[in-house]
Amino acid sequence: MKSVLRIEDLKVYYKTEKGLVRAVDGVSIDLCERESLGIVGESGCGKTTMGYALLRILPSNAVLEGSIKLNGLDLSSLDQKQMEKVRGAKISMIFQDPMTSLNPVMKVRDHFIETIQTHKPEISEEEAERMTANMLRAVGIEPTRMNEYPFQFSGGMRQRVMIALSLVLNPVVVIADEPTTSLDVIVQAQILDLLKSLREKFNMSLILITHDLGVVAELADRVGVMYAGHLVEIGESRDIYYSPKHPYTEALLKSIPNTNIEDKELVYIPGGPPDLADPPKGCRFEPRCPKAMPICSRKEPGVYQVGRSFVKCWLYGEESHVSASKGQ
Amino acid sequence: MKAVTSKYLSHRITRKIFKSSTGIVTFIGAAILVFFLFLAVFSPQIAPHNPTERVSRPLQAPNSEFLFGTDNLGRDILSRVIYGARIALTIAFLAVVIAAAIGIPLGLISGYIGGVFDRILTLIMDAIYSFPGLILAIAIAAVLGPGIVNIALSIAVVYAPTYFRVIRNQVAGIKDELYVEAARALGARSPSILLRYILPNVLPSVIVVLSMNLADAIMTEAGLSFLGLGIAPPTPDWGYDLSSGQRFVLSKAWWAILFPGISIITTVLGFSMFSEGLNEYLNPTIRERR
Amino acid sequence: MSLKNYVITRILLAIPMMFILLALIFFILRIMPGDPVLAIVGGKAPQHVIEKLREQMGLNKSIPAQFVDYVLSMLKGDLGKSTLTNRPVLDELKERLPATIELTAFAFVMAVLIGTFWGAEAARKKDRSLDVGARMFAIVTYAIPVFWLGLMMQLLFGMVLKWLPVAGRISPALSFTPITGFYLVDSIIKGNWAALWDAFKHLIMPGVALGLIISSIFLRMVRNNTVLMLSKDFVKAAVARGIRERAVLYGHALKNALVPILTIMGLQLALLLAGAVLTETTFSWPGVGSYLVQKIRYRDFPAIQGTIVIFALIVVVISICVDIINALVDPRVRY
Repeated sequence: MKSVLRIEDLKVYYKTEKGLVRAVDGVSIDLCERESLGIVGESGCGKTTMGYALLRILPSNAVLEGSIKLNGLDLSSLDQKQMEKVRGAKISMIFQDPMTSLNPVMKVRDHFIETIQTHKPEISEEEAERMTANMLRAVGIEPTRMNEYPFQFSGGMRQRVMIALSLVLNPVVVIADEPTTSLDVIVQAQILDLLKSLREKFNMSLILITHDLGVVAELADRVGVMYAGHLVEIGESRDIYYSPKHPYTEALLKSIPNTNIEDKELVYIPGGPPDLADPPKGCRFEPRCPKAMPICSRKEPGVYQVGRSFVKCWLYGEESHVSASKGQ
Repeated sequence: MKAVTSKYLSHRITRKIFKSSTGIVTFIGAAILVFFLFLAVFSPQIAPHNPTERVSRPLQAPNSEFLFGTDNLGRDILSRVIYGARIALTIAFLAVVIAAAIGIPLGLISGYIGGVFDRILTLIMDAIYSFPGLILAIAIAAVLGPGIVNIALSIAVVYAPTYFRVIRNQVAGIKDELYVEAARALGARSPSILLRYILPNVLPSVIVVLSMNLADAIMTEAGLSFLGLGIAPPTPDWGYDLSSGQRFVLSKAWWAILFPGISIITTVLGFSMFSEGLNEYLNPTIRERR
Repeated sequence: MSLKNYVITRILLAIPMMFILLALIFFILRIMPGDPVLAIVGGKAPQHVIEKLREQMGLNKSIPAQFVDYVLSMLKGDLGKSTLTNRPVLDELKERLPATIELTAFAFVMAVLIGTFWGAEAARKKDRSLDVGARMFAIVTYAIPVFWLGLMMQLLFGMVLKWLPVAGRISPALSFTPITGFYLVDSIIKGNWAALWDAFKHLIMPGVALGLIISSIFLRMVRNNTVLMLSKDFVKAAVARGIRERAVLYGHALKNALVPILTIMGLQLALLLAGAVLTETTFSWPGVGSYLVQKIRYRDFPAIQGTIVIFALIVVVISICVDIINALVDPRVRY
């Protein structure tokens, strides 16, 4: 399969009073055409920061390193003016809270027209309106409602609007950051179904950022697990679910009640994530890891291939030394 | 080594002060206030001349004897500026105290009782509040005539609604809270509930409004005196000393305009900087007419 | 609620407010200690003169009867006659009003422009020099009395540099006869470009002085609100859609920042009116404000009362307009 987005050794550091906070620290991922990749992890593990980094919408105190190649174009080397042309057109984002993601004093229609005409000034207003109507129909909203204001829509409806808005220019990659977290359960299921059908219809690749493994199971072909700024495991959804390799993935699965895993006992992971301004020298999960070995606290593990998955863990250090592998 | 450490440390400390810019602002504001209070209290000792007596030729530019020059009646401007602090601060404090004395009790009662009484009083206070303060003060001052108490009263009427609004809204908000309910259940009577349970809780916001109003009161007083509605001449007053400003403009007597003006500006700056800091410190939520 | 219904409701709500203001003015001018008649004639006037004047002014009636008289005449648009000139107060005010409107409109536009653009750019460059400068400007300008700023400008630009006229609305040498009373408009209607330039030169100093003072308040509010709005999700979402930085700042952040500012705009306009009284006096600007001050000097109570009633009317009309504009901008208000 053709790769569309290649993230290599991505690092995002925040300059803070405490020092450099390493929110994302050396993540490499390849995203294929029409692929759906889930990124899971606890809050604060760097998954949202990574999403923002891909769009280059990080706060001003952030430092970005590594490369983000979208169809060969290195986004990390573009300036903000050039980035404006990419955002929304080639790579777009669906945000967590639909209640606050739309401009309250702007009609829904104008959100679309503005987005379309910013990227394609040659498109007339009538044409843009037609595109808007089609897009709204595709997400299940009556096109006549485009002349309403955001506050006239329910939460689920607003998220549909947001989805339509992020897809209207048919981007290559869509990043969905916790798209269902703030919605109630029935609406969540509807939105996930919608995303699933739209992905096929629009031939896009999807990066689904969530803390909810259930959401990932529903939608993702592959899953990456993040912990404290590191991508600790990445593999096919099935493999992650049925034979997790990294002790953190294992613990994460056991701690989540609504998965299909056979485990009856609910386990929580003792301790909390490390301080990213001063992370552990070795493996970042070591302080909480039930299987920690002496080497874990001394040296950062490499990435090893185990079956079809790639794991950043010393448990697999002896088995195969593919440390340079990029997790594809 | 030691030098490096101390340099590092002092850098850290300056950075810390710089970080809380509100700290600096409050400090400067307080320093200005103390300075003008000092001027006001000790003006007879500090002022080099009698402020109401002709001591030299009129309209002399600043020189070694008359540091701020003299006005059109040959009076020493420096001495008038120093004595002017007395009038400005007295009227401002008096006005604010009267405003609080009207606004706070009315606000407490109105918020506590509620109902029609509260509605009507709120409507009246809102009407006063929406009216241009200076024009209202002008009208009252015009009726009452000159004099320290009269001017203070005119300004107080303008600011009383501010206290009323802040207090009334807070009281209406907290009168149903648990601790007040509990006191009521235990048989406490309304006046004692108001004074012992509710008043202490709304006091921080009163202090902030008070310090903000002092700045505005100084400004309004200066405006009234400038229009000739302040205290009777020849009492030294910054605003009044500027009322013959056009004459000074025509004779290019910049000193006669500059110094009284600078005094008003610094005092107002002092009060507003101080209240800004106080606001952040005591009560980050209230924002009143600014 | 449709916009039309909203407007009607809003106007109906203004009636009690106007009534309260009328009562307030009556209370201040009639009931408070101080006697308007004595104020006019002075304490040493013979008793029969005082009695006659009292009767003339309707002051011998009971207070409630006086109040009814007063409210009825106000409703009829009768503001009484000036004791100084014996002309209807309303006529005198009509002559003065255009000057005040010209001055306040200039100041207001200037304040809004400075406040909006500097405020928005300061928010965009938060904590950089443009922003620090804006905050200092706002604090310092707030502390400057408008009449002092006016005097200093007269001194510098009028006397020392001789760029601008020190006072008045137009040079007497032009012997300009107004049509509408708005000199800028009148000179354009007449095609009198010399008069237009002259009137504009007279307007600059008072307009700028008043505008600068009011701008500090706008600047502060726009800056703080825009900073707040720039941190909102919908701004981030707009950036993520590739909307250009300028469009995000002005179209999304600023537009939302202005909504809460609009709701308290009435208070700012009240401040503008108060500032106009001082500015007009400083620059001998023949408007309603300097009229009021003049009449106070001569203790012309009907004129004082009439002027303040007009100010009250202006305040009420402004508050209605502000609410209607607010409903137009923010659709949530209407529903």
